[in-house]
Amino acid sequence: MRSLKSLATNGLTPTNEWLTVKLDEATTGIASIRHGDPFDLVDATDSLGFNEYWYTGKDAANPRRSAKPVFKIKENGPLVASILVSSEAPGAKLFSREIQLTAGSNRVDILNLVDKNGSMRTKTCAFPPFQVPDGELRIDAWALMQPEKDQLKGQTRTFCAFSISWTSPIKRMASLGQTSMRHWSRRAKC
Amino acid sequence: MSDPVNEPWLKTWTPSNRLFSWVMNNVWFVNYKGHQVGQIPFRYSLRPHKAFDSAEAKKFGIGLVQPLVVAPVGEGQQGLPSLLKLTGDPAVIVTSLKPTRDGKGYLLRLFNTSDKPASATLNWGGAGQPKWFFEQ
Repeated sequence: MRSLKSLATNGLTPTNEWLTVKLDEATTGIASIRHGDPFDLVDATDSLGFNEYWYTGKDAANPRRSAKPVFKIKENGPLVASILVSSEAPGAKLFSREIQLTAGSNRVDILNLVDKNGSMRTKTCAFPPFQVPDGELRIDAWALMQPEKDQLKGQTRTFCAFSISWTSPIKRMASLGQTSMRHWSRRAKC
Repeated sequence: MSDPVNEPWLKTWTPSNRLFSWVMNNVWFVNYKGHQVGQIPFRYSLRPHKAFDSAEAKKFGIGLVQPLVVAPVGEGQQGLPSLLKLTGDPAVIVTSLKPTRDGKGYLLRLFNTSDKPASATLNWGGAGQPKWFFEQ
Protein backbone atom coordinates (compact mmCIF):
# COMPACT_ATOMS: atom_id res chain seq x y z
CA MET A 1 0.00 0.00 0.00
CA ARG A 2 1.31 3.40 -0.94
CA SER A 3 1.50 5.96 1.80
CA LEU A 4 -0.24 9.30 1.91
CA LYS A 5 1.48 12.42 0.82
CA SER A 6 2.04 14.79 3.66
CA LEU A 7 -0.70 17.26 4.45
CA ALA A 8 -0.53 20.59 2.76
CA THR A 9 1.17 23.49 4.49
CA ASN A 10 -2.04 25.08 5.72
CA GLY A 11 -2.97 21.87 7.47
CA LEU A 12 -6.49 21.75 6.06
CA THR A 13 -5.90 19.90 2.83
CA PRO A 14 -5.56 16.14 3.26
CA THR A 15 -4.27 14.54 0.10
CA ASN A 16 -3.58 11.05 -1.13
CA GLU A 17 -2.75 9.62 -4.55
CA TRP A 18 -6.40 9.86 -5.62
CA LEU A 19 -7.96 12.81 -3.92
CA THR A 20 -7.34 16.26 -2.56
CA VAL A 21 -9.88 17.60 -0.10
CA LYS A 22 -9.76 21.19 1.02
CA LEU A 23 -11.54 22.44 4.12
CA ASP A 24 -12.63 26.02 4.45
CA GLU A 25 -11.91 27.86 7.69
CA ALA A 26 -14.49 30.51 6.89
CA THR A 27 -17.45 28.27 6.21
CA THR A 28 -16.16 25.21 8.13
CA GLY A 29 -17.37 22.96 5.34
CA ILE A 30 -15.56 21.16 2.54
CA ALA A 31 -14.49 23.75 0.00
CA SER A 32 -13.06 21.48 -2.65
CA ILE A 33 -12.76 17.86 -3.70
CA ARG A 34 -10.47 17.15 -6.62
CA HIS A 35 -10.00 13.77 -8.17
CA GLY A 36 -6.74 13.83 -10.04
CA ASP A 37 -7.69 16.60 -12.40
CA PRO A 38 -8.38 20.33 -12.11
CA PHE A 39 -12.13 19.83 -12.06
CA ASP A 40 -13.62 20.59 -8.68
CA LEU A 41 -16.54 18.44 -7.60
CA VAL A 42 -17.73 21.00 -5.07
CA ASP A 43 -19.48 24.19 -6.02
CA ALA A 44 -17.92 26.45 -3.42
CA THR A 45 -19.99 29.43 -4.51
CA ASP A 46 -23.11 27.99 -2.92
CA SER A 47 -23.69 29.64 0.45
CA LEU A 48 -25.13 26.51 2.02
CA GLY A 49 -21.72 24.90 2.24
CA PHE A 50 -20.71 21.29 1.68
CA ASN A 51 -21.13 18.99 4.67
CA GLU A 52 -22.55 21.82 6.72
CA TYR A 53 -24.93 21.39 9.63
CA TRP A 54 -28.23 23.20 9.41
CA TYR A 55 -30.74 23.50 12.17
CA THR A 56 -34.03 24.04 10.48
CA GLY A 57 -36.42 24.07 13.39
CA LYS A 58 -40.03 24.23 12.38
CA ASP A 59 -39.38 26.82 9.71
CA ALA A 60 -37.04 25.62 7.00
CA ALA A 61 -36.98 29.12 5.55
CA ASN A 62 -34.76 30.37 8.39
CA PRO A 63 -32.21 27.67 9.15
CA ARG A 64 -29.12 28.22 11.32
CA ARG A 65 -25.71 26.70 10.75
CA SER A 66 -22.81 25.64 12.97
CA ALA A 67 -20.34 28.26 14.20
CA LYS A 68 -16.99 28.85 15.91
CA PRO A 69 -15.09 25.92 14.41
CA VAL A 70 -11.94 24.54 15.97
CA PHE A 71 -9.73 22.57 13.59
CA LYS A 72 -7.48 19.75 14.71
CA ILE A 73 -5.30 17.40 12.71
CA LYS A 74 -6.28 14.03 14.14
CA GLU A 75 -4.22 11.73 11.92
CA ASN A 76 -1.30 12.84 9.81
CA GLY A 77 -0.35 9.72 7.86
CA PRO A 78 1.20 7.59 6.68
CA LEU A 79 -1.91 5.41 6.40
CA VAL A 80 -4.68 7.79 7.42
CA ALA A 81 -5.04 11.55 7.24
CA SER A 82 -7.97 13.13 9.02
CA ILE A 83 -9.01 16.54 10.24
CA LEU A 84 -11.46 17.03 13.07
CA VAL A 85 -13.65 20.13 13.10
CA SER A 86 -15.55 20.81 16.32
CA SER A 87 -18.21 23.50 16.27
CA GLU A 88 -20.99 25.01 18.23
CA ALA A 89 -24.32 24.14 16.72
CA PRO A 90 -27.91 25.16 17.46
CA GLY A 91 -29.91 22.28 18.82
CA ALA A 92 -26.78 20.46 19.93
CA LYS A 93 -24.18 20.67 22.65
CA LEU A 94 -21.50 20.00 20.07
CA PHE A 95 -21.20 19.17 16.40
CA SER A 96 -18.02 17.60 15.09
CA ARG A 97 -16.95 16.53 11.62
CA GLU A 98 -14.06 14.25 10.81
CA ILE A 99 -12.88 14.27 7.20
CA GLN A 100 -10.70 11.28 6.45
CA LEU A 101 -8.61 9.94 3.59
CA THR A 102 -6.95 6.53 3.62
CA ALA A 103 -3.89 5.54 1.65
CA GLY A 104 -4.80 3.61 -1.49
CA SER A 105 -8.50 4.45 -1.26
CA ASN A 106 -10.27 6.75 -3.69
CA ARG A 107 -13.02 7.76 -1.33
CA VAL A 108 -13.61 10.46 1.24
CA ASP A 109 -14.99 9.27 4.55
CA ILE A 110 -16.94 11.68 6.69
CA LEU A 111 -17.94 11.09 10.28
CA ASN A 112 -20.33 13.69 11.63
CA LEU A 113 -21.17 13.54 15.32
CA VAL A 114 -24.14 15.37 16.78
CA ASP A 115 -24.22 15.68 20.57
CA LYS A 116 -27.89 16.32 20.72
CA ASN A 117 -29.51 18.53 23.34
CA GLY A 118 -33.13 18.42 24.41
CA SER A 119 -34.47 20.25 21.40
CA MET A 120 -37.08 18.49 19.36
CA ARG A 121 -36.47 20.43 16.19
CA THR A 122 -35.11 19.09 12.95
CA LYS A 123 -31.43 19.02 12.08
CA THR A 124 -30.03 18.57 8.63
CA CYS A 125 -26.58 17.96 7.21
CA ALA A 126 -26.32 19.60 3.85
CA PHE A 127 -24.33 18.16 1.00
CA PRO A 128 -24.99 20.85 -1.52
CA PRO A 129 -23.95 21.35 -4.08
CA PHE A 130 -22.06 18.82 -6.09
CA GLN A 131 -20.65 20.48 -9.15
CA VAL A 132 -21.54 17.86 -11.70
CA PRO A 133 -22.86 19.34 -14.93
CA ASP A 134 -26.04 17.55 -15.94
CA GLY A 135 -25.51 15.19 -13.04
CA GLU A 136 -28.01 12.41 -12.58
CA LEU A 137 -29.07 11.24 -9.15
CA ARG A 138 -29.76 7.58 -8.58
CA ILE A 139 -31.06 6.19 -5.34
CA ASP A 140 -30.24 2.69 -4.23
CA ALA A 141 -33.57 1.42 -3.03
CA TRP A 142 -32.23 -2.10 -3.60
CA ALA A 143 -32.76 -1.57 -7.30
CA LEU A 144 -31.39 1.74 -8.53
CA MET A 145 -34.02 4.35 -9.22
CA GLN A 146 -34.02 7.91 -10.42
CA PRO A 147 -36.24 10.40 -8.61
CA GLU A 148 -39.24 11.51 -10.59
CA LYS A 149 -38.37 9.37 -13.58
CA ASP A 150 -38.91 6.04 -11.86
CA GLN A 151 -41.46 7.09 -9.27
CA LEU A 152 -45.10 6.31 -9.17
CA LYS A 153 -47.39 9.29 -9.59
CA GLY A 154 -48.67 9.24 -6.03
CA GLN A 155 -45.34 8.62 -4.31
CA THR A 156 -43.92 11.27 -1.97
CA ARG A 157 -41.38 13.77 -3.27
CA THR A 158 -40.80 15.37 0.12
CA PHE A 159 -38.19 12.86 1.23
CA CYS A 160 -36.54 9.68 0.08
CA ALA A 161 -34.45 6.82 1.35
CA PHE A 162 -31.10 6.22 -0.31
CA SER A 163 -27.67 4.74 -0.55
CA ILE A 164 -25.62 5.92 -3.50
CA SER A 165 -22.07 6.75 -4.57
CA TRP A 166 -22.50 9.43 -1.99
CA THR A 167 -23.50 6.84 0.52
CA SER A 168 -24.48 6.88 4.12
CA PRO A 169 -24.18 3.56 5.94
CA ILE A 170 -26.22 4.84 8.86
CA LYS A 171 -28.56 7.59 7.80
CA ARG A 172 -30.93 6.84 4.99
CA MET A 173 -33.20 9.82 4.69
CA ALA A 174 -32.55 12.69 2.35
CA SER A 175 -34.27 15.44 0.47
CA LEU A 176 -33.24 16.88 -2.84
CA GLY A 177 -32.73 20.45 -3.94
CA GLN A 178 -34.30 22.02 -0.87
CA THR A 179 -35.05 21.22 2.73
CA SER A 180 -38.68 20.31 2.84
CA MET A 181 -39.10 19.38 6.48
CA ARG A 182 -41.63 22.09 7.12
CA HIS A 183 -44.19 20.06 5.32
CA TRP A 184 -44.69 17.88 8.30
CA SER A 185 -42.98 19.67 11.17
CA ARG A 186 -44.96 22.88 11.13
CA ARG A 187 -47.61 21.80 13.55
CA ALA A 188 -45.47 19.78 15.89
CA LYS A 189 -46.17 20.86 19.48
CA CYS A 190 -42.65 21.07 20.85
CA MET B 1 -49.55 17.16 10.11
CA SER B 2 -48.97 19.96 7.61
CA ASP B 3 -51.63 22.17 6.15
CA PRO B 4 -52.36 20.58 2.77
CA VAL B 5 -53.80 23.82 1.41
CA ASN B 6 -51.10 26.33 2.31
CA GLU B 7 -48.17 23.93 2.43
CA PRO B 8 -48.86 21.02 0.19
CA TRP B 9 -46.41 18.18 -0.08
CA LEU B 10 -44.08 18.36 -3.03
CA LYS B 11 -45.56 17.12 -6.26
CA THR B 12 -42.39 16.98 -8.32
CA TRP B 13 -38.63 16.88 -7.94
CA THR B 14 -36.53 19.24 -9.96
CA PRO B 15 -33.17 17.75 -10.96
CA SER B 16 -30.55 19.07 -8.57
CA ASN B 17 -26.98 18.54 -7.38
CA ARG B 18 -28.08 19.35 -3.86
CA LEU B 19 -28.58 16.68 -1.26
CA PHE B 20 -29.77 17.21 2.28
CA SER B 21 -29.29 14.41 4.75
CA TRP B 22 -31.91 14.50 7.46
CA VAL B 23 -29.75 13.61 10.41
CA MET B 24 -32.55 14.10 12.88
CA ASN B 25 -36.24 14.61 12.79
CA ASN B 26 -38.04 14.31 16.08
CA VAL B 27 -41.44 15.07 14.69
CA TRP B 28 -42.70 11.57 14.32
CA PHE B 29 -46.08 11.24 15.94
CA VAL B 30 -45.34 8.09 17.86
CA ASN B 31 -45.17 7.16 21.48
CA TYR B 32 -41.59 7.81 22.48
CA LYS B 33 -39.90 10.73 24.14
CA GLY B 34 -39.05 13.16 21.39
CA HIS B 35 -36.25 15.16 23.00
CA GLN B 36 -33.79 12.38 23.64
CA VAL B 37 -30.22 13.56 24.12
CA GLY B 38 -26.81 12.11 23.43
CA GLN B 39 -24.07 11.65 20.86
CA ILE B 40 -25.15 10.24 17.54
CA PRO B 41 -22.70 9.54 14.70
CA PHE B 42 -23.53 9.88 11.02
CA ARG B 43 -21.16 8.40 8.46
CA TYR B 44 -20.93 9.28 4.79
CA SER B 45 -18.56 8.20 2.04
CA LEU B 46 -17.94 9.92 -1.26
CA ARG B 47 -16.26 8.31 -4.22
CA PRO B 48 -15.80 10.38 -7.36
CA HIS B 49 -15.89 8.46 -10.61
CA LYS B 50 -16.16 8.98 -14.33
CA ALA B 51 -19.00 7.29 -16.19
CA PHE B 52 -21.69 5.76 -14.00
CA ASP B 53 -21.34 2.04 -13.42
CA SER B 54 -24.36 0.48 -11.74
CA ALA B 55 -22.46 -2.56 -10.49
CA GLU B 56 -19.61 -0.52 -9.04
CA ALA B 57 -22.05 1.84 -7.32
CA LYS B 58 -23.94 -1.10 -5.85
CA LYS B 59 -20.80 -2.83 -4.66
CA PHE B 60 -19.50 0.40 -3.17
CA GLY B 61 -22.62 0.78 -1.06
CA ILE B 62 -22.71 -2.87 -0.02
CA GLY B 63 -19.02 -2.80 0.84
CA LEU B 64 -19.58 0.02 3.30
CA VAL B 65 -22.68 -1.47 4.89
CA GLN B 66 -21.27 -4.99 5.01
CA PRO B 67 -17.51 -4.55 5.48
CA LEU B 68 -15.16 -7.49 5.39
CA VAL B 69 -14.87 -9.34 8.67
CA VAL B 70 -11.33 -9.66 9.96
CA ALA B 71 -10.47 -12.97 11.60
CA PRO B 72 -7.21 -14.22 13.08
CA VAL B 73 -5.40 -17.00 11.26
CA GLY B 74 -2.50 -19.21 12.14
CA GLU B 75 0.97 -18.59 10.80
CA GLY B 76 1.29 -20.11 7.34
CA GLN B 77 -2.41 -20.91 7.12
CA GLN B 78 -3.64 -21.03 3.56
CA GLY B 79 -6.75 -19.24 2.42
CA LEU B 80 -9.86 -21.21 1.59
CA PRO B 81 -10.41 -21.97 -2.08
CA SER B 82 -13.23 -20.18 -3.87
CA LEU B 83 -16.51 -22.07 -4.00
CA LEU B 84 -17.39 -20.62 -7.35
CA LYS B 85 -16.49 -18.06 -9.97
CA LEU B 86 -18.88 -15.65 -11.62
CA THR B 87 -18.17 -14.56 -15.18
CA GLY B 88 -20.11 -12.82 -17.89
CA ASP B 89 -21.90 -9.49 -17.68
CA PRO B 90 -20.25 -7.41 -14.91
CA ALA B 91 -23.65 -5.93 -14.08
CA VAL B 92 -24.48 -9.21 -12.35
CA ILE B 93 -23.11 -9.37 -8.82
CA VAL B 94 -23.31 -11.78 -5.89
CA THR B 95 -25.22 -10.22 -3.02
CA SER B 96 -25.12 -13.16 -0.63
CA LEU B 97 -23.67 -16.63 -0.25
CA LYS B 98 -24.46 -18.63 2.84
CA PRO B 99 -24.87 -22.25 3.98
CA THR B 100 -28.40 -23.61 3.88
CA ARG B 101 -30.14 -24.37 7.17
CA ASP B 102 -29.74 -28.10 6.75
CA GLY B 103 -26.02 -27.65 6.17
CA LYS B 104 -26.14 -29.65 2.95
CA GLY B 105 -25.57 -26.85 0.51
CA TYR B 106 -25.22 -23.17 -0.14
CA LEU B 107 -27.69 -20.47 -0.98
CA LEU B 108 -26.42 -17.99 -3.54
CA ARG B 109 -28.19 -14.82 -4.49
CA LEU B 110 -27.39 -12.92 -7.67
CA PHE B 111 -28.53 -9.44 -8.59
CA ASN B 112 -28.61 -7.65 -11.92
CA THR B 113 -27.67 -4.08 -11.07
CA SER B 114 -28.56 -2.73 -14.49
CA ASP B 115 -31.94 -2.00 -16.03
CA LYS B 116 -31.24 -4.35 -18.92
CA PRO B 117 -31.25 -8.14 -19.24
CA ALA B 118 -27.87 -9.62 -18.40
CA SER B 119 -26.37 -13.07 -18.52
CA ALA B 120 -23.68 -14.56 -16.35
CA THR B 121 -22.05 -17.92 -15.88
CA LEU B 122 -21.39 -19.69 -12.63
CA ASN B 123 -18.36 -21.92 -12.50
CA TRP B 124 -18.87 -24.10 -9.45
CA GLY B 125 -15.49 -25.73 -9.20
CA GLY B 126 -15.71 -28.63 -6.80
CA ALA B 127 -18.93 -27.50 -5.13
CA GLY B 128 -21.23 -29.37 -7.49
CA GLN B 129 -24.10 -28.00 -9.53
CA PRO B 130 -27.08 -25.98 -8.33
CA LYS B 131 -30.12 -28.02 -7.42
CA TRP B 132 -32.67 -25.24 -7.46
CA PHE B 133 -32.89 -21.93 -9.26
CA PHE B 134 -35.37 -19.23 -8.35
CA GLU B 135 -36.02 -15.90 -10.01
CA GLN B 136 -37.41 -12.97 -8.04
